[in-house]
Amino acid sequence: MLGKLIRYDFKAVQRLLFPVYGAMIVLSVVIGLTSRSDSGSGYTVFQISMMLFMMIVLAAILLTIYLLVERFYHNLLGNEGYLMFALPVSTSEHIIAKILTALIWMAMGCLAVLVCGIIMGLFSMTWEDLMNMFRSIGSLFTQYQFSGDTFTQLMEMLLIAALTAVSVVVKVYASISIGHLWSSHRILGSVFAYVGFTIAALLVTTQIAEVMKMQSMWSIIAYLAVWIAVYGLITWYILDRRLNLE
Amino acid sequence: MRWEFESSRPIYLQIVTFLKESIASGVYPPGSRMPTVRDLALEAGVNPNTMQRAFAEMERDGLLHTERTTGRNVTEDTAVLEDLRRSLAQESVDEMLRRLGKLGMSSGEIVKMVAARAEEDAGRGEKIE
Amino acid sequence: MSILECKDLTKRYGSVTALDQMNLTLESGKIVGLLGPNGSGKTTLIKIANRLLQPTSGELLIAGSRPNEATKAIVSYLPDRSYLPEWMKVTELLEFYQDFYSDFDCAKAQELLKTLQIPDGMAMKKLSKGTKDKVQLILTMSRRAKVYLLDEPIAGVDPAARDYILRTIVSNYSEDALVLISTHLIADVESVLDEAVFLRQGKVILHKPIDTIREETGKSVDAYFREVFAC
Repeated sequence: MLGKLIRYDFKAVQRLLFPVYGAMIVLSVVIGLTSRSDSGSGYTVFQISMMLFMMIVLAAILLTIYLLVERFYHNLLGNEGYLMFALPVSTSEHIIAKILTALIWMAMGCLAVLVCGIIMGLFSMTWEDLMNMFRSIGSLFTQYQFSGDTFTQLMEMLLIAALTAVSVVVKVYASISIGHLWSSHRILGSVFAYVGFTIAALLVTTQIAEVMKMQSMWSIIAYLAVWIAVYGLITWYILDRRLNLE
Repeated sequence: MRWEFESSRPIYLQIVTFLKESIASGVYPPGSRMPTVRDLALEAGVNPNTMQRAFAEMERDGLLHTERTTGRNVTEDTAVLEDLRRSLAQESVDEMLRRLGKLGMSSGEIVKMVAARAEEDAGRGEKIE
Repeated sequence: MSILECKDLTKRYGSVTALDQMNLTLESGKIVGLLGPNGSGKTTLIKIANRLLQPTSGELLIAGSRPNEATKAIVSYLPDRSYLPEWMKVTELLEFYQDFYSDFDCAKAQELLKTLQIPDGMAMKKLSKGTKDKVQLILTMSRRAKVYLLDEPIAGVDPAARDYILRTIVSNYSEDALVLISTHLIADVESVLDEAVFLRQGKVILHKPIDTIREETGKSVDAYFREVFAC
């Protein structure tokens, strides 16, 4: 069931995000091609494309955030909630499906930006430029104290990035859920909840940072996992026990 | 298309009346197979359970009977059918008498009116409709 | 074991009591009308049966269990609003229902949808409200469920469409299933019902077969309802 839920969540959003990512990639090709042109008109196209590109990346980021919120709110707590919660699916499956879909979209967004960067880079850099870049990236890793292997470091960083993304997503879901508890001013309630969570997290972090000396990778991961569990439980409890669709 | 039902009498009884009239007038000839409960319920726009109740009542009255595998058939018993015809006719007559009685007509007046009308129709070579 | 049972079911929203120690037992193979004025608790009852609400106290049992994932698989629910995603096309909706409900009869749904003559690639948002309502009804009734909960299926619908809807409900009748129709438009559904449940301020004040009510009162259920609920 989980896979099916993810599939439909994906379908609902792909109509909007694919065109945006597509436009990004097309623009990056244009940018790459015109980046080294000497002619006046070529340079104008380059400038315009660069501006458009930045606008589209901004739009993509905003759109992803907006969709993150909208999918959860609209599909589970709006009229569609009558369809979704009548399905023979557990509440936790609904929540996990939404989180995973959001994660997938965010990963695809990052991938798209990466691809654009590579495209632009490939078109505009010389071989030497490329080598220099790789060398400077490599030196970055050796500065950290964690483990010696670059590959493991990369994986650990990706894991932390993913968990951070998940915790942000679940935090948003928990906030929306708390807003749902009231029958009016739900959006206001959600915003307050989000701010409340941020403050609470800040307070806890400053207390704990002393005690735990966040040096080991795994303490960060554990810490994130705890927050994810807290937000997840709040969301689950409200959707499972306090649901009140209009 | 739904059948017309009066709102204050039980629906199944109204269906029984309707089916009795249909049998007596030959819509469902003797020995013929009745439509299924579901089909007739759908046609009438009623709950199949209600139709089932009507059918059960008809079976109790001996007007329908269930054939082992082929479903429900109208009876072929001429005595029963004749009885039905008579009782339906009697009901109409009783109803007419009751209504005309309310108008203050005597039985004599009523019989005269009926006879006059019958003669008129016979004179025009028409059956009584 | 009855298919739907309410035992001292109570639901309170703050100071408002929507269901008040309600008791009700419904059996399969019946089409039952849940009749009452607005605010009598009809929708609340149906939502609890679908686990869209939790009771304050007491319980509602479907085939002996409290509402859960398993009961959702045998209950087919038609809410009183447009609940299907606007972006979905009819073909995608069929796929959706088939994906999530093992008792969904896709062929039957397609058959019924054909009569609506909806162009293949058309999304829900392009359809008129009346057509949307019919699509929702068809999807709901195309499941071979044990309980059908229809919340105001004919309100806000023209008379011809009402006939269509009631015909669809009756032709879908199964001895294994309970159909519970919640409505305040009694005259239209009366001939289709087996039993009537009168609900007033969250309590069951009557639960009888339609014909019994007619026999005992000499009135239609609609007329009797007006008498009982006269303001």
